[in-house]
Amino acid sequence: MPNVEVQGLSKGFGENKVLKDISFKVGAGEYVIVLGPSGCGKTTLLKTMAGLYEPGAGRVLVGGEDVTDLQPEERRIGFFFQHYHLFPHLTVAENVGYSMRVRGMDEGMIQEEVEEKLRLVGLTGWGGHLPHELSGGMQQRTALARVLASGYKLLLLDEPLNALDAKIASMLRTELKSMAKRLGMTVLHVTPNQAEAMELSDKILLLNDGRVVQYDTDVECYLRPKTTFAAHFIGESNFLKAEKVDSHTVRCKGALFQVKVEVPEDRVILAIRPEKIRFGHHERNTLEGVVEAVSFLGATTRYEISRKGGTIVVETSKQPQIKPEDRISLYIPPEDILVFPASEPLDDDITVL
Amino acid sequence: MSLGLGSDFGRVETLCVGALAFFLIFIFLPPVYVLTYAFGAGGLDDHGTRALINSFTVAFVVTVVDLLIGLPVSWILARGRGLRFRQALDTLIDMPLVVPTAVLGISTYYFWGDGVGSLLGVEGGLIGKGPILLALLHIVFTFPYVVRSIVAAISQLDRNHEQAATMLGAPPFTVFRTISLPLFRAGVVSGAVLAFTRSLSETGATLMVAGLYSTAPTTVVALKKAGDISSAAAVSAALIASAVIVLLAARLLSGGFRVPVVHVWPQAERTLGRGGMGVRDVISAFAVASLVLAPTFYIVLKGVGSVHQAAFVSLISDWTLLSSIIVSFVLGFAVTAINLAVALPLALLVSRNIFRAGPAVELLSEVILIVPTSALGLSIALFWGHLKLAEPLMLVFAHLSFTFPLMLKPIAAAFSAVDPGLEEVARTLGARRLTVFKTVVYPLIRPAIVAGVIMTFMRSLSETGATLSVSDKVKTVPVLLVDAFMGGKVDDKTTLACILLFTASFILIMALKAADKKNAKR
Repeated sequence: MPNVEVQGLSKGFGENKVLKDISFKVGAGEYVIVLGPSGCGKTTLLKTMAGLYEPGAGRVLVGGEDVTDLQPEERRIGFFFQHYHLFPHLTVAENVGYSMRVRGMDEGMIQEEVEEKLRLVGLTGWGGHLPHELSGGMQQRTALARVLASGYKLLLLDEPLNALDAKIASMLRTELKSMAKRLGMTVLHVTPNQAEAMELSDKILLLNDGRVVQYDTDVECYLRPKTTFAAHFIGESNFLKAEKVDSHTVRCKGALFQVKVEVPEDRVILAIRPEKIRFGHHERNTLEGVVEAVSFLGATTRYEISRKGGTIVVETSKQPQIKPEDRISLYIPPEDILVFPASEPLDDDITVL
Repeated sequence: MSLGLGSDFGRVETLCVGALAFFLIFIFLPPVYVLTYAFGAGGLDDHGTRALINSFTVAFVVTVVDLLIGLPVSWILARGRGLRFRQALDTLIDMPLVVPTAVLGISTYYFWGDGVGSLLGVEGGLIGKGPILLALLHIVFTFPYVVRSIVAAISQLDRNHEQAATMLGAPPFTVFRTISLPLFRAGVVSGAVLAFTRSLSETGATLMVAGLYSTAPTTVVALKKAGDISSAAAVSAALIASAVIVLLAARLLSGGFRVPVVHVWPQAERTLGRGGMGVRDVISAFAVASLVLAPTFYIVLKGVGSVHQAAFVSLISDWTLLSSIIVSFVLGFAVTAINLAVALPLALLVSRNIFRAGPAVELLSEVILIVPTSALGLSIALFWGHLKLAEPLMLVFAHLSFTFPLMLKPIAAAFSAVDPGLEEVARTLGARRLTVFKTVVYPLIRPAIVAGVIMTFMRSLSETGATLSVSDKVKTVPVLLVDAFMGGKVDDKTTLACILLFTASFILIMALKAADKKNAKR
């Protein structure tokens, strides 16, 4: 299984710069999730790595070898397309055997390998069917068998579960990772889905607007997001404006807040995860509000607390006796407050109180 | 069936019934009638059989050459670099579609005779009248059919399939052979069918360059002229039957079987893919230039330099020529107007499958499209002949029949492309049925109507085979050109007429392209 290194990769289509100087390394056998909102350049990154798009600048190294100038068919990179693109005129078995056949492998071996891969994805006996005779899930498995049969150890998956309904997708999700680990493959898996990223990843490569926002394990990304965008996109956060008082104190909505990290600038934005907020009054680190809505979500309950200027979301597994229109106090422990400089550009989707 | 027609249901239905009746009586019955006529007459004689074999031989050779050059050229047109260059080449290649074949006949004859002859220093021309020149001529006007069909099919390809194959390790040529070609095969087959049947059916230009070599359509015309109607009918019937067989065979070919990915030769195909592209482009460019473009444009290039002012004067003062131009245009307008009136309701019938007659009408119209026009003309002459109709009327009937599919096809396709949801939305917003048609449907199908009108008009203007089969006294422009050429009277005046026809064709094809572009935008 190869490691991968991407150095300073850029790609534009005319005026539109889609990838801007992207660099990262993937260790051999790692399962990396490429996460980001639609249009952030995820698919372009994969296609440029595969050689389907020519990069404007940068290099791609696979197993230490520079493949940037190789033709896509010479790179030995498996690519799984979002909509599968099974060859409609070929049977399932012919689709699966395609890669071996075009590279001139022995026909006997091809047959054996096709059988083996069909068994692996649970499609034994379906080899003679045409793609359009299969269900969505089966088409997805066929495409998976096809890319596995290529024997390539680096796999790029472009939203492989996106076209499936939720239940099948979640079933195939775990299968996908365990199969990749079992076969010893290095995987880059593109998804816009945060839950999918948390469940599958060894590491998350978070992209926004053509740049790498953060490249860390899922736990790191969640606990220590590097930007407001990361705090917003991975998990959920409440954002509040604040001013610096001293190196570990800020003033927010007229109240003083102690924070564990150092305050970087005079004007900052605080990010607070909904599940970190507790009900109750303390001398510091406390906000007042009126309960606007209560939603029971099963394992947790979600409260929307309205304040002048917006709503704060609180989520807790306990079930305190709180009803709409109650006036309450919210306490936020210093170690659970993330602090970001207000001078950094803010994503359009983020609402700051 | 539910058409969502509300209270106007009856009116549309009546229109459709009328159009259907018109189609069956005027367009479809005559060729069926000639089949029965032929069986009564006792079949083909030796002469007829030979002519039929000649026609098939020429059509076969022509189609093979068309495909050999057409495949790489279509690929370049659909996928090559340089949009402007491709659009220009596309227009040039389409020219033979609209230039009357009689003009192409004269142009090709002089190109391979005088033109190439004097270039190579061969006294008396390089290639004279006969089967070789005939095949060269047929390549000129059938080539655009092949290219148009294949380019359309390639444009429909989902490139992701090719990318998927590339990522599985297939070099470019292997991708083309195992993925692209099988996926656009239907376009290749339909282009080949059009080219084959067009070659099988062409009459006017064929008369010019065939010399002593007789094809089935020229035999029909000759036999009719000699008064041997039953033999002419027999040849016509055989032509019609064989065209139908070709169509059915092609339908089987394009859908019926699958091509498995057979063993490949990775090394050889890898080499072919990379180094071979430049060579391929040069060879196909040369082939198109010498076999299609040069013969098409030769008469214009030659004429513009040599025609004197006097030719204009004699052209304007030549009453025979002027009257034939008037006849051609009046005929073209009349035929286009009538066909449009009938094709609109029938296209609706086809696209919405009213009376469940859609597929049947579509198939019949397809058959008419490929039936050789001289056979069609003769069948109309025989079918209506008993009524002793006036010659101009017969001419209208003949032209109605072979142009009808050209009008029906694009309009029916456009109707099918209109989302019925749009009409439902308009209805729920309070529009009446007729208002919906005027404000929603018509603007969407208008480019297709324009395309149908131009193609119908051009085809009527340039046709010779059917015209010769039904009329003796009334002469259209192409017929006059054939006569002049056969009589050895190709003077400056004739050349000038050719150039004028050529220019008119060019203007019309630009109009057609503009309509096409509008179509594509939707």
